[in-house]
Amino acid sequence: MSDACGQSRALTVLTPVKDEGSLRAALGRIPDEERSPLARLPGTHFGRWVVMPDLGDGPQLLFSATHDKSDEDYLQQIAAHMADEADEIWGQCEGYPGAADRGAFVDYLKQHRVRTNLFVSAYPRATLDEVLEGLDLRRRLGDFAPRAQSMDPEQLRAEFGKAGLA
Amino acid sequence: MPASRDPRASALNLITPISSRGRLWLRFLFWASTVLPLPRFTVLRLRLIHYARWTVLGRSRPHLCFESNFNGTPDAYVEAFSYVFPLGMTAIWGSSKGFPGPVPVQSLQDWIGEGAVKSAHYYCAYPEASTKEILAGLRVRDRLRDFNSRARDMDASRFADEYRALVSDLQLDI
Repeated sequence: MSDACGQSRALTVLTPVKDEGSLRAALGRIPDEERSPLARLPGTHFGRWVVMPDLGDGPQLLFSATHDKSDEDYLQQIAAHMADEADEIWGQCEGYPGAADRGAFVDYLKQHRVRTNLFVSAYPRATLDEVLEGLDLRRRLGDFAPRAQSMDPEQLRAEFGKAGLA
Repeated sequence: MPASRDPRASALNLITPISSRGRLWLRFLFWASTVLPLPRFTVLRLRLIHYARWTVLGRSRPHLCFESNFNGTPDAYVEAFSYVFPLGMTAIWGSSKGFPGPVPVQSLQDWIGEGAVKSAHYYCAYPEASTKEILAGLRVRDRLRDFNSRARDMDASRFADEYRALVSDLQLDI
């Protein structure tokens, strides 16, 4: 099993659904993009909820996240940073104890965790913060380089710092 | 083919039924892939995939669950995958019911379309960034760190020379 690839971690949780209609409605209410509750979880590169087709064990909800924290820390952070959404979503799943009891919540996710068989990453050594910093620096340097061509050395050094590249 | 929309990052969830013998084969195959770098290298050579994972689910009716986060449209992604990784695709999905083979691509895309499940919610921390841009950004970050650690001891003239050499080296990344 491989839930780790360099700094990257794969979390997969599969929980039995008791009310699929309510679950789909709850998932439909989650805001997208930067307003997603997953944006509040530090270290989260990607995340998704998928209402699975019946695989023979009844309806199930798949939650998967790619992150760069320890497994324990990440599960704790779900309860800490998105308790309301967790209750809305996993509240439609059987046996869910609620996020208020953080220990029981973490145990619930661990109990339903599924180990990944193979996990690959294009940038396994990079944390989320490093990815975002790299993208920002790339943009800054790309913006700076054309106007730096005509600068004398003193000006270049001063402007390099002002551009946030030092 | 259902896949969550994002300007650069897209999601694919492919759930395919497998035989009991296929389950055993995949356990071996995935174990071998964790110790042999070639399969991962080949897949990532596409520079389309951010992250991908394979998970075998279910006991009584086993299924292979493939989750991918990639750049571009699902059809283009599948087509590229089929050309770069045909043996790998056959090794992984050959035990999935109805797998038509990596070519012709249209048959493969149709089969994937039948087995793909749309994400009810999909999140990406950097939706506008392609894999290539992220890798370029990480190279820029590393080179700037190295440059800045050396720049402290440079006079302005040397700083300018070293800076121009840096930008020349990184021209394909910025």
